[in-house]
Amino acid sequence: MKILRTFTILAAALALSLSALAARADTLKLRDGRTLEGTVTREVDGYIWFSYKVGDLVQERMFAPSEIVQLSRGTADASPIEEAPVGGAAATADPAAKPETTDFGRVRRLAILTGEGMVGMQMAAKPLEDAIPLLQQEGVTDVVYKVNSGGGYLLEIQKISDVLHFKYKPLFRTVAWIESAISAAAMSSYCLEEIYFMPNGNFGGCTGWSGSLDAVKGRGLEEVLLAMERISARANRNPAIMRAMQISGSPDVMQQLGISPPSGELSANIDPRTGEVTWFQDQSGKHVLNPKHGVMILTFDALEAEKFKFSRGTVRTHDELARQMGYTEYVFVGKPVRGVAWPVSKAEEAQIEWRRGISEAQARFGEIVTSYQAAVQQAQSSQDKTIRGSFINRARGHLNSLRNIAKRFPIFVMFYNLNPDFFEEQEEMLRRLAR
Amino acid sequence: MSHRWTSLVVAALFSGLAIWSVPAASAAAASARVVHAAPRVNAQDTLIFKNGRTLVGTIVSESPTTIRFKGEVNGIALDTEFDRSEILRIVRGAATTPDRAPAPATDPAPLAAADPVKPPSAPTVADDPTGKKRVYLIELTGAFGRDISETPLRESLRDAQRLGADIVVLSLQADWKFQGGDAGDDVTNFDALFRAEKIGPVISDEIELWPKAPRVVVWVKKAMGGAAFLPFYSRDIYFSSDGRMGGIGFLKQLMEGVGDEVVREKQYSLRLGHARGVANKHGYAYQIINAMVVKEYVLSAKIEGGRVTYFERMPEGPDEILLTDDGEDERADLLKDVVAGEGNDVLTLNAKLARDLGLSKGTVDTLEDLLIEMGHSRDWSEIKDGRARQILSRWSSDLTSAMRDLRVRIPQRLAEINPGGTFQERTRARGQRKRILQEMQGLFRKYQEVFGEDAAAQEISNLSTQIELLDQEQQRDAQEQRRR
Repeated sequence: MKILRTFTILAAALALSLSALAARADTLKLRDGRTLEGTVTREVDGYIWFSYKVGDLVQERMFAPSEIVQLSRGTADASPIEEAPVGGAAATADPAAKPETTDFGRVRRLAILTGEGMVGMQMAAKPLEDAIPLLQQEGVTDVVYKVNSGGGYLLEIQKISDVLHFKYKPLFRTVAWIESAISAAAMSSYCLEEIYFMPNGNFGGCTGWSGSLDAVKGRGLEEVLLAMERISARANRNPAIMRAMQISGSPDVMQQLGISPPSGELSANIDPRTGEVTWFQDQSGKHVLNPKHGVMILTFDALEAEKFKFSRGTVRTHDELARQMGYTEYVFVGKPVRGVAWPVSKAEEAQIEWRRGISEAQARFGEIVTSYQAAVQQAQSSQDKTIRGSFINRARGHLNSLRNIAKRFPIFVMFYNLNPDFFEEQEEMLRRLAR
Repeated sequence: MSHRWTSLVVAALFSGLAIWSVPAASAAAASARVVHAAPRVNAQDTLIFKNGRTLVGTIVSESPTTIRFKGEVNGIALDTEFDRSEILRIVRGAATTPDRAPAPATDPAPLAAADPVKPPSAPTVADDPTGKKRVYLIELTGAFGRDISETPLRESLRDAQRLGADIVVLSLQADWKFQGGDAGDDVTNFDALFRAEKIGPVISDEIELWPKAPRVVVWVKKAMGGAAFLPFYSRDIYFSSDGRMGGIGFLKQLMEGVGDEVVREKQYSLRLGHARGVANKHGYAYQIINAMVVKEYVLSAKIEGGRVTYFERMPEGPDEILLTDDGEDERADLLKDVVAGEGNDVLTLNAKLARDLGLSKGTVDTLEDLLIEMGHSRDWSEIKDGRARQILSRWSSDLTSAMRDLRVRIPQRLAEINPGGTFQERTRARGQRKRILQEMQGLFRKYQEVFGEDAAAQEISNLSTQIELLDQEQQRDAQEQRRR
């Protein structure tokens, strides 16, 4: 009788255990590659006792923290972790959270990529695109594009936008974190739906100009306005906002600029109940953003950006950013580097190296060109074949430096016509000189 | 071939600054890889370990040597005791637990202080055995952006760190001169903002990364021009009784008459965006910046029980004060008002106004009064063996000497080099020239923050070109010599 009773209790316990398994189905991912489904029965200091089925048998085993990649609790558990969407990350803020699991486990793996310097030079599409395989190698799920740039060349805006929109967004949850995004820097990152600000952040001032503050006008301006309308659509953003950053809120601006209405006037209402913002391309809204206090181009600061839901929040540190993105479990990919406030991933190392290289090339370009020209002149003026040869060698050295610059930084090819024809012409000229 | 070098593609610029170089990223110290586990219930304490690990949860109990902590790692509950020696920093959440006294909440920012890679630091001096606050005074004088610059300031702060300062007082008395005399409130140097954006983070972002961050106080004596932005980088501003802060106004008059209006508007807008960012960084009212910067901006204030309410319009009642009008027509400042420092086209803060608006925490004329005002009547001692004075003064004198070298002495030395007649003399002369050019490059490198990074890089490159041409001359000379 006693035996029977004990058996009954055990059976009941087993039934409870199995029903618990069915109801909760905690998932345990192990470093040896296995993923077990079952129930956590006990936890102490990171060690867990896990009950799971092998065939028809239920067994319980203890796992040390070092064996565990990730524990995801089943839906019946009311813990905050279980409220997280698939992937183990508590990405409550954004349904568009991209990659869910990787070989690295289910903790969100964030990488910060910095866009700094001049757009088209230091801040460019090429290093961003080149970074994608590096990000994938490191199992990155979320890319934070941190922008601190005063703008640059028009021709790079579409390229950066395309790389972010077509290549990053399908692979990573990609967000912008703004320290300063002025002009082309703002326009380049505008396709990202999620924009966060640093407290000192600013974003806007997107008027094109050249020479002595001469505005881009007429057809050229209409083309840029249209391009930015399309880029606004990529981020589901009202195009009136970008227009207010591009052209003046003064009504007589269209005549000056040779374009069709409307002007850059912008106002907004904020629904006191829902917080929803409605935009107007005139001054009929309750809050007039452009013109404002005599300034006729829109540049958001962190407070206004948040108030009008242009940004999704203002954060000082990368950890605050991750939390603002809705994550409670995350890791910033990379290693600590002195002078950088967040871990530096391989992809970010590549951005830093790009900037260092192109800045050096920019600074030295004139020097190399002058040195090349001087060496050619020395060779041309030398009657002695040996002396001439030595200067031709010197000239070749400088020409190779230019070739390396052109190879590494294609924008120099475009700006200075450093195309293959040019190098061929120069080589031919040096060969003739050597005869 | 030469035409090719000049065939620069005409590319429209969507660039911010027409005059200044693009502001670069602020430096900060590095961070470790961290994994955060969510606290389940009302637990926001953070333990930051010396190995870079960070845990968020609840401190259950504490002893002098250990901390018992509840949290989660990778979704797994954790309830364990840590040795205090493993812990670099404890950031306490706002919620308190019954078994410990309430602790003030720490701003989220100092979380970054957990980062294991920090600026190099000398061994710090232990806390004052008497328990007194150690106060380190740095007197910032001279030209803002030149004498007051990031390198000597950073070096002085490291000295303060080495000496275990609890409070660093930055006494700010920057030159404000125009045509040899003291400049008035109607003179502006707005674009020094971009120097301030480099210098300011040295007293805020960088210090926050220290394991033991001191309280940094800016004591405004004269903060005009670019120096007016610096106090905004501190949470503690005090004024001397004759203190002034301004000289950054008339933004919209900055580029008057140059280029197209819409581009000028862009320039104003982005500059105002940067300036407001400086105020926002530490939670100061952006309206103050607007009023200091834009003549057309109208600002009134109502002060009730120490609380300030701003109105972007003229006053509408006797309890409101006008801070700035739009400076138009009859409202334009009269010369006598400007001379007396009583104009209101743009805002220049004096001690009283800064106090009334809550920007300044007090008006004091001695260090002792400052400490009393801060709530330390007796429990402080000034660090007397600090090196800030020497650091700043050496920087200024070396910089002055470098400027004179570049402007006068080096051209003289170059002119005095005898080109020589013989091959040996010519070789020697070229060698001398090269050394001087390299010396110039060294000066541009050393003081690039003052010259501007881009400008310094350009100068260095130009000098490299000259060196290369000397090398080519020497190469030809030597080969011809051998041929003879």
